[in-house]
Amino acid sequence: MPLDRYRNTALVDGIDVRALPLAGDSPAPASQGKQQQQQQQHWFQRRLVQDTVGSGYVEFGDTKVLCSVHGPMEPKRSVLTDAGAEQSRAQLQVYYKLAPFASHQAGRVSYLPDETERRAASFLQDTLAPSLRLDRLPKSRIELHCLVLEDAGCCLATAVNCACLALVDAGLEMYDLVTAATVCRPVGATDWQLEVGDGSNSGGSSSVTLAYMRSLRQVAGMLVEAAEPLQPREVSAACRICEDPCKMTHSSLRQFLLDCLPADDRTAKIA
Amino acid sequence: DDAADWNLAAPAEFAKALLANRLRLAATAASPSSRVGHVTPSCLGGAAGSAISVLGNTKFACGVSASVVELSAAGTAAAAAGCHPLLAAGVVLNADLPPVCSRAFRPGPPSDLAQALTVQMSDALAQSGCLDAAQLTVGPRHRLQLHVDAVCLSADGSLPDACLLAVSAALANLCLPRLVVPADAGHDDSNSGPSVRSTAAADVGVRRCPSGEQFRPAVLRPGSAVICTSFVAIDNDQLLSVPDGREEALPGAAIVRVFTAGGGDLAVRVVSVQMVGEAASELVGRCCREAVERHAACLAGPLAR
Repeated sequence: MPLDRYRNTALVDGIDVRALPLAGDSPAPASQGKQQQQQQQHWFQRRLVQDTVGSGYVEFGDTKVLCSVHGPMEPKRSVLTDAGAEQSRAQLQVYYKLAPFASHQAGRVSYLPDETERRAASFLQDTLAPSLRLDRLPKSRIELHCLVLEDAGCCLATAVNCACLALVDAGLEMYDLVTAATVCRPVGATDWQLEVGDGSNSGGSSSVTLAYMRSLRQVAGMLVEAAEPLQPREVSAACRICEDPCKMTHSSLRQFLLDCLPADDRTAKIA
Repeated sequence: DDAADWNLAAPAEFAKALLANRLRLAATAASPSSRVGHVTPSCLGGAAGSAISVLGNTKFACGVSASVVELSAAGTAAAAAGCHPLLAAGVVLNADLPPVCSRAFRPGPPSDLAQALTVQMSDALAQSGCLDAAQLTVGPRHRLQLHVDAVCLSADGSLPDACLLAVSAALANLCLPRLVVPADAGHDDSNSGPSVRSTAAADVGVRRCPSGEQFRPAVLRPGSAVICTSFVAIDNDQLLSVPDGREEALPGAAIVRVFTAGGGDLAVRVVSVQMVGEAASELVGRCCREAVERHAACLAGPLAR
C-alpha cells in the first residue's frame, strides 16, 4: 500500500470495532432476515452540485451514489492514439471512488484508488461511451466523476444509473438511457438472486452486472465476477434475470426526467 | 435575461452593482435560517457516526469510523513524533475536496485548499476545549481511535463553515458497539469509561459485547459544538455573512473566518480568527459578535440534540 503523504494518517494501525470478534464463545448473531424479495425502488435527484455542467444522485435501498459531469473541455493529447480519431469524437473519462466511510463491511476505504475502483471506472466508461453521441463533440473531453457515499450492495449498477442521470442532466445527447442491475449467487447456492441495496445478499461468490438500453434492446455492458469459471448457460440465465429490473429502472428514470421538465415541454417524449 | 448576460460578460461589475444596491444573490442570503444551515444526522450506515450538512449550495458529508489501538503503542508513537494534539488525542481528521464537488478540483493528491482545510479543522477542534479524550479510553491498555472524514459534495463558498457543521454533528451522533475488555487480575476497571469488565480469564484482546448493545461516547462535551462563520468585508463598509463562491472571489474583498466553540456547560467563546486581506478592527469585532450569535443559533437549530 503506497504511503499517503498529503493527509493525516493514524499513528498506530488499529482494528476496526466492527471487525472485533464477539466476547465468549457465542456465535455471531443471525442476520435480521431482511426480506430481499421485495422490489426496491430507486430515488433520483438532479442538480445537487452547483459548479458542474450536470449532476445526479441516486439512492437504491441504502446504497447512495453521487455523479457529476465536467466538460466539454480541451482533450488530452496522447501520442499513442491516432490524431484523426482523437479529434473526430469526444473522449469520455470516468473516475470512480468510494468515500472512506462507504463500506458496510469492516474496514475503512483508503483515499488512494485500488484495483476494484479502477475496474469499476473502466466498466462505467466502456458501458456509457457507446450510448453517447460523442461524434457531436469533436476535439473535446468529457469527465464523469462518481462518488459512492454508502455501499450496501448493488453499488456498480446504481453507479451506472446515476452516471446516466448525470449525463442527461448535463444535456449530452444519448442514443438511449442506460440502466443496470446486478444478480449474485451466494456461496453454496445454485440460483441467481437479484442484489438489493440493503446489504442482505451482497458479497456472494459470483455476481453478474448487466447494463441495458431498453429502447434499442441492446446490452451496453456486462461484468462477470466469479471465484470459479461460469458456464455460458449460467451467465445467460443471470442476464435474463437482470433484464426486467433494467426495464423497470429505465421506466422510473424516464418518468423522473419527464417530471423535471417544465409543464409546457412535457408533451415531448424522451427516447 | 439582461442581468444574466451582464453577469456573464462582467461578473465583477455586476456583483459591485448588486452590492451598491444592498442586494445579494447568494443562496445563504435568502433568510437567517439559510445562514445557519441544515444538518441530516446518522444518514450513512457505513459509518459509526455520520452527518450531511447543507449551507446554501455547499454540502459536506462527514463519516466517523472507530478502531481499537493499544495505549502503550499509541502513547509512545505520539511522544516520539511530536504530533498534532488532535492526533495524540486519538482523532484523525481529514477533509477532502474531490473532483465531484467542483470543476476547480482535479483527481489525484489533495489540493492546497483541501490540505489547508484539514489543518484549519484540526486546529479548531484541538483548541476548542470541547473534545473529551477520556471518552475514548477502553480499559487500562486500549483506546478508541476515531477517523473523521469530511467529503465535500458541492463546493460554493464557506467551505470551513459547512465542514465543521458536519463534523460537529457526526461526532455528536457517534454510536459504537459496546466493548468488553479482558479482566486483569487486581486491576480496578471501575473508571475505565464505557467498557465492561469481562469475567472470562482467557480473553487476550478487546471483544464486542455479544448482546449487540451499543453506547454513545460523548467525544464532544454534551451540548457543545465547534462552528466556523465566514464573512466577506468589502471596502471596510459592507459585511456579507456566509458568502458563496462568487462573493468570496470578489476583487478587493477581505475574508474573515471566525471559529467559535462552546455550548452546554461550556461558555461560547471565539477560538481563533483567520483573515485573508485587510479589514478594520471594528469590522473584525462585529464579525466575532455575529459569529457568537450564529453559534447559539446553530446549537438551537441544526445541532440541537
